[in-house]
Amino acid sequence: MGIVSEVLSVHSRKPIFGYKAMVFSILAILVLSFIVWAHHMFVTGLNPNLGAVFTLFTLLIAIPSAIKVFNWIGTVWRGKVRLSSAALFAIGFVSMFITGGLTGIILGNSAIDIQLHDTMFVVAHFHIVMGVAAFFGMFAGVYHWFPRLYGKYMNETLGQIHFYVTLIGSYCIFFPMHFMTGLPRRYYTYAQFETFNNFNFLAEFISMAAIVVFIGQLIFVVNFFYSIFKGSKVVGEKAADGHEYANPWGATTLEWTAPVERIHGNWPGEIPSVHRWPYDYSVGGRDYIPQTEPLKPGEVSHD
Amino acid sequence: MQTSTVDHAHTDTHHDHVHGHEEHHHEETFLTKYIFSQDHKMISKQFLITGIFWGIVGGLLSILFRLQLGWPNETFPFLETFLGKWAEGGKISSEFYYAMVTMHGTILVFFVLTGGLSGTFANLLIPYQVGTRDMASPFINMLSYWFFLGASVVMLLSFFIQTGPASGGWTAYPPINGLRDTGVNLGSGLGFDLWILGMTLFICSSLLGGLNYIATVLNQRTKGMSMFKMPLTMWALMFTAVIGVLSFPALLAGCVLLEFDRLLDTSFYLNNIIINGQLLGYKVVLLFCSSTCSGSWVTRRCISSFYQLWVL
Repeated sequence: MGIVSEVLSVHSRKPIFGYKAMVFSILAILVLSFIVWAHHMFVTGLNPNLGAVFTLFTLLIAIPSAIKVFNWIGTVWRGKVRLSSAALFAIGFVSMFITGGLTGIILGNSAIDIQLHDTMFVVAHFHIVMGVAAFFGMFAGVYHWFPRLYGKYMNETLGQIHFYVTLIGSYCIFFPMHFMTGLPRRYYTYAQFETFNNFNFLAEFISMAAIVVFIGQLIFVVNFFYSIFKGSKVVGEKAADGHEYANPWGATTLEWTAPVERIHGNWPGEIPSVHRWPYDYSVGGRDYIPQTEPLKPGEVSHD
Repeated sequence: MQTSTVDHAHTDTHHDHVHGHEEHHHEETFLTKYIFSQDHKMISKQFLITGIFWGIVGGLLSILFRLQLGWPNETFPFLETFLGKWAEGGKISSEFYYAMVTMHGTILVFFVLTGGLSGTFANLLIPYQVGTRDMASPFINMLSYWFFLGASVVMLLSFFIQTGPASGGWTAYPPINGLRDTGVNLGSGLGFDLWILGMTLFICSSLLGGLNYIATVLNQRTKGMSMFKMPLTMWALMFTAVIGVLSFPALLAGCVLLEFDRLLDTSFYLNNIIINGQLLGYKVVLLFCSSTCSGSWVTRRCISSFYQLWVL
């Protein structure tokens, strides 16, 4: 979520929408995550009254999650979005998070969960919101910070192909699973159950999509290792200290004030000081203002 | 996109000062730079590349069991070439199917989306974005990766033992995982012992890393970097570390108690299981947890928290 917030803001050239709301939403999710554990146990003979309590806490997580989704959309809304691989994966994350989050609201209800427990509906929910969405966040981060890690760029064309294959393929895998309600998960074979024969086509389709998505990930792996050695170099400007500095995405944060070369200790001289929040994009007639730039007279700090 | 923009005119950095950090820097050997590195950037790369390796393995496992689910009546002769007795006649055995599902979950949940994701980005971004030269303890940070690699080696080894890897589900619920010789799934023997050992090493790695991340964010921010001037990545990575530090020890305790049940005949989880007419756990000595539910509660609470861990 943090990575996505950062990537969306940088590539939309807009300040993050609702910074403090985002912080407190993360905190709220953290706190609530410790008191929802029995939503895995609705069918274990748990007292229904206790189940109701855990249903309540589970559904409460939807509030900070929805705030975050709203803020991500607010960040991108009417921004000058650069549809780079990093931005695409960040947007894909939001899409997956919404899709998986909505089914979370369904499953969080103990009465419904009793029907859906251990079916493919749960597999769909879990994989979309925790699996695919998390992978999308990770890919967004790798594409965005690859220049910082290796001083090179990843191939953008391969990145975009990777994104579309993964997005479409992942939905092809997991979306049909929502319609396999009643089909129990963790079964080696359903051959003995004639009633499940009508899911055979979907199972085959999902398997084909999974193979395509897996091959799509190999595009990323090839791109990653190829770019480490043969990727186009990040070209910066040479400063008086002899080091080269670059800020390829025009970001405000401190990591881009360090030399392109990854030196031990990060900065050759003193560590930079910070004067402003990290989301001054498209303000004051400028594309971005680094965190290291002092506030102008009359300018108000965000914290 | 690739035009660089350098804006140093207004910064407080003094890049022309030569008396900075570099002056005291010693030459590094290949071993200290690439292998036993204490540099957060190199450790980040180590986590990332190990995570990518595990991502491929975990993804490949899902492809294999999707072959079974998608085409349950077909045979795939090439599988026998690679998997031997686990896919005789080109059909994946039910034993190995459950082992693959178990290891797919374990690998992707813990080794990719927890270790790979958090390890990579916390290590790369925290020192850079809060403005410090490295983690609060670079040495502990190095240990964090090496515990992770140790856990990875143990998990990988479990694929090559005679009984196959753990096959009782990535959530490791008792009672199926509380007994070594169930006669139901071979992987519940040595395979699951290695799973617990691997998870123990992994949890050590996460705790060492997590404490370091929290300490660095709270104590080593550069001048002017108040908490509300931090990028949201810092908040998310810090809170992720907090969840990990609070919940992983409970999982570790749950795993160790489970292994006690398996090896020492205790009954933290199994006191109602009767095998061969004998009530298991009747000989229990260790009673500090007093009931089976306490242990399973711990495990479940933990797993629930993990669901929120890597998405923050």
